[in-house]
Amino acid sequence: MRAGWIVSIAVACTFVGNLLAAEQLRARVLAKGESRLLKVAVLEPGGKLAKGQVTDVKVSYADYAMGYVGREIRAEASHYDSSWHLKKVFPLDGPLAEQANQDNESLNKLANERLTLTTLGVGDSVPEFGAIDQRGNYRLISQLKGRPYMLNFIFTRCAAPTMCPQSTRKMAELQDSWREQKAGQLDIVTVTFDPEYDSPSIMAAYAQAYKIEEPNYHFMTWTNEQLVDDLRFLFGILAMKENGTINHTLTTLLVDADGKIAYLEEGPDWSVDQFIAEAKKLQK
Amino acid sequence: MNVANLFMTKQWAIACASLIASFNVATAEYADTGDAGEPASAAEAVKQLVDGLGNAQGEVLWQAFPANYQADINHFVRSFAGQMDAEAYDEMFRLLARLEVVIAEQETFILNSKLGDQSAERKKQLAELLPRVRRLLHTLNQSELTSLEKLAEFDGATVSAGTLSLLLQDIDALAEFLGIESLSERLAKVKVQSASNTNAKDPAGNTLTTLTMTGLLSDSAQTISFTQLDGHWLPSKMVAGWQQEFKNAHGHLETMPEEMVPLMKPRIMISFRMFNGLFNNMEAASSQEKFDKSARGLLVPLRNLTKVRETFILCTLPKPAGAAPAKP
Repeated sequence: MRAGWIVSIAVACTFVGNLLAAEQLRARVLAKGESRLLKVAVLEPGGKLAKGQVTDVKVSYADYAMGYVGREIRAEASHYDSSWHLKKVFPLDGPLAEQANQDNESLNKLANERLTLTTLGVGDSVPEFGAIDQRGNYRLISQLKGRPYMLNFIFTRCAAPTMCPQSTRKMAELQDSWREQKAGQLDIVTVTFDPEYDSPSIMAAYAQAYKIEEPNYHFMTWTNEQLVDDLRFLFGILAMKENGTINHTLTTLLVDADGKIAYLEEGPDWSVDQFIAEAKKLQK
Repeated sequence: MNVANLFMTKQWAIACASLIASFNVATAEYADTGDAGEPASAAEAVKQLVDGLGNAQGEVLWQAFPANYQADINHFVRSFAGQMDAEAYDEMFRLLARLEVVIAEQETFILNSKLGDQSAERKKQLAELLPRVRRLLHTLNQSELTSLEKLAEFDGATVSAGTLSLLLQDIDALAEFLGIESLSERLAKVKVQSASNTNAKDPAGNTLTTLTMTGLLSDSAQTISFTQLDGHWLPSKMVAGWQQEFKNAHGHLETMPEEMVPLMKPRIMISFRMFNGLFNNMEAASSQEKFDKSARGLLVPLRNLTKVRETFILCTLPKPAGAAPAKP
């Protein structure tokens, strides 16, 4: 009798687990509906969604606001509350996507050939790479040429108050202070250590939570870990997945209008005023 | 693995030679008797030391020092063992032991790495290099240096005769393979000649002499003053500065737990944890791509450790005059 109950509970758990289990799919977004609904055509099956199937899926407000209509996406699909839900939505095509992919392949090649003990430092050019910003757009770092920018690395789930959260707060403070001083143009680029989780919409929500002003602040993610691995390797940033989090070091850089590193500081104790002073030197 | 090659530069070999030169250039014990087989002069004694090191006889380095200098060195290393952070130090040797295992177990992935030069010639060279690297690691991993517990009983005589001699052989074997000038080749070119024989004395009454050395630090001749101390010839600069240098070194050791360790340990330990994680990945790698990704990653903590070395140098630099003391 007891064994029967145990088997029943196990079967029920498996059934619920299957229902909630998220599986990756690829789909094309056909149209936007109401109440966070997107109509998608499945390109590569995931969960119980079959290839070629057209269905409505529910997404977060941030994903709903992205310009994904007509574009191919990759996402995790789960079925609950009588509907399909997508999370971790990444656009796979769109303007500059092909160029970004090519640039990142070149970056990987560059990193694999740069087997030296020196990392990129002051005076070195930031290599070309592409990424997806918090608006769901593909961007190339070379698009920022002609104006200086700040560059750093964080991940949104970082729970160490003195690491990523503090770093982002300082970037927001720097942005505010820079604007108040009317010192010229200065963009900010923040690349995630955690592209597996940090989708464009997660980064958009993160930016909103820190009251970060757009459009000159670019949170960058990618469709796999290769980009951030290569950038970390070139900039000499340590990061490792441990106990459900990512332990890492911090490097904050200032890049000049020609794409060369003008100033950098390692560790979490960098000063907003110091970076502002250095950035002012770069204003033409 | 190409990473190993990064260290094997000509500059590195010369630096190694310079280190030994600056560390001692002292003499083996001798009496000026003119007996066959014993050095008759300071020049011969110094040459005997250089030749001994060139023949991978580490013990000649130790024997070049008078007993009180040997005691100072033993005392310093044992004090270091008492002040150094055991967690960081011991972990460093655990990692070297793991590296030895990874090289042994993943030789195929190492040889077929897609990182760097992938020519057949390079692969052949790598196949010859790996056993030599493993031998070097094995020497270190079996040495008296592998834990602070062992280091607390450091005996220079034993270490120089054993581990140092083996390391000199291993380093020479690596240099030979890499086609760079080895320490033994460099030392074989060293010429030592007496430049003066004035029987001058230093203020303490020790006999002084001047030697001309060629081929050690550079191909041009260098004139170096030597002092005879308890039957050993040592560079006069070393003798003059010995006590003060050791006093300074002990001073740095005393501040290490409170000043240097807190500053450097986090950076060291995060590098070590990353090495461990990468070794895990390399051991478990099921494909060449996965192995290469981790192998390339080894450079990141390695670079981080070079920055620790810079921090260490900054920490040990004398404080500028008038600078505020580190602690009230």
